[in-house]
Amino acid sequence: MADGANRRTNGHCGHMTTSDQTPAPDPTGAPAPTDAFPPSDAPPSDAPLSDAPPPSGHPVTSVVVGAAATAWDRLAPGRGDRIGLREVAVGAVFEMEDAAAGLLARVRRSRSRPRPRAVVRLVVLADQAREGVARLAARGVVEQSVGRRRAAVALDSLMAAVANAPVVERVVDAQVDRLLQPLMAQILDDVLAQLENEPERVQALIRGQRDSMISELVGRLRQTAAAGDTTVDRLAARLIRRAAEPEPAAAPEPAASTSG
Amino acid sequence: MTTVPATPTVPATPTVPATPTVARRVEYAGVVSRTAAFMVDVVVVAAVALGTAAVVQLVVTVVGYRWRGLADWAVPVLLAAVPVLFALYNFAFWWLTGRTPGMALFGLRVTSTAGRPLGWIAALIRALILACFPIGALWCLVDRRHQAVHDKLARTLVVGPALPGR
Repeated sequence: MADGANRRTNGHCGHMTTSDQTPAPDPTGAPAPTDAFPPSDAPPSDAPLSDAPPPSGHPVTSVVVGAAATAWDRLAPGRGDRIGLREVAVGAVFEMEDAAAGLLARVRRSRSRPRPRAVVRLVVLADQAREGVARLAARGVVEQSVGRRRAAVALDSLMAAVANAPVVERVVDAQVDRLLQPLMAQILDDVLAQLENEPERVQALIRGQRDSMISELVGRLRQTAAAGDTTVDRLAARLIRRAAEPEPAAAPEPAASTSG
Repeated sequence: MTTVPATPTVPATPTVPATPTVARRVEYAGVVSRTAAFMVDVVVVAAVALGTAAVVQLVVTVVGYRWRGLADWAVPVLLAAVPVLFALYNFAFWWLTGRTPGMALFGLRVTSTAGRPLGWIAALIRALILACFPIGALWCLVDRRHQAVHDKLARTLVVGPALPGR
C-alpha cells in the first residue's frame, strides 16, 4: 500500500520537476497537456493509476498534495489501494484550479481585446434593455389577453356549474321555503289589511295615475293639433299671399276659470 | 330757489282690489283643431243615432209583427234626421257650456266676438248654419281670425288654449 502511495506521490513529484517545461495555458481555458507525463492511452505503470486522467500542469498544487498524501499515509497506515474520499477531494482541488485558470485566462483575453468606447457600450446596453422590455411587454400583452379569455371561460363555466348544481338548487329551495314564503305571506296580509283599513290612499294613487295618463294623452293630442294648425296657416298664407298673422285679441278671463 | 320736499301721496280712499282677472293671450283655433273636434262630435252624434236606431229596431223585433210598419219608417227617418240631431247637439252644448265634447277634448271654446259666452240666439244660428251649410266652414282657412261662415253670421270666435311654443 505504501508503495502505491509513494508511486502516486512520485508521479506528482515528477510533475513538479517538469513544471518549467509546461507551455502556456490554452486561450480557451482548457488545461494544456504536458510532455513530462505519458499520454492517457499509454500503458500505465501501475494498475490503480491506469484509469486516472492525465495530470495537468499544476506544480505547486502537486507538491502540496503529494506532501499531504505522504504525511497522511504515514499517520494512518493500512488504507490499501482503494480509491476513497481523499482521491475525490484531490480531484476536486485540481478541477477547481483548472476552472480558476480558465477564468483567469478569459479575463486576460478580454482585457487584451480592444474595448469599445463607454458610450457605445452604453447605447448597446440601452438597446438591448429596450428590446428586452419590448419583448416582455409583447409577451405580457399576449399572456394577459389569453389569461383574460381563459378566466372568463372558467368563470362562466364555474357559474354555470354552480347555478346548475343540484346541491345549490336544494339549498335555494330550502331557504325559499323557510324564509321567503312566510315573509311574502306576512307582507301580503299586511298590505291587504292596510288596503282594507285605508282604501283612500290606494284610490287616490290610482286616480292620480289615471289622471296623469289622460292629461298626458290629451296634451299630446292638443300639441299635435296645434302643430297642424300652424302648418296649415303657413301654407294658406303662402297660397293667398297674406302678409302676416294678425295679433290675436286679449280676452279677459277669470283666473279661476278653466280653459280646458 | 327753494326745493319742495316730495311728500308721499296717500290715496284718500283705499283701493279695492278688483276681481282678479288675467289678460290671457288667446289663440284662434286653426283648421286642424276645429276639424278634429268636429269629427269627434260627428262620431258621438252618429253613435247616438245608430244606437237609437238599433234600440228601435230591437224593440220592434221583440214587440212583434204589429209594429213592423213603425220600424220601416222610423229608422230611416231617424238616420235622415242626423243633421238635425247634430244641430241640436251643437246648440245645446254651445249655449250651455260654450263647447262641445270634441272641442273640450282639443281645448277649444266658442265665444262671441266681444269675448263673452254665447247667447242662445247666437248658438242656435251657428248650429243651424253649420248643419245646413257645412262647407262654409272652409272659410276659416283664409280668414285672419279663422272665422267660418257660421262664425261670421253668428258673430262668434273659436279660441283655443295658449299652448307653450305657439
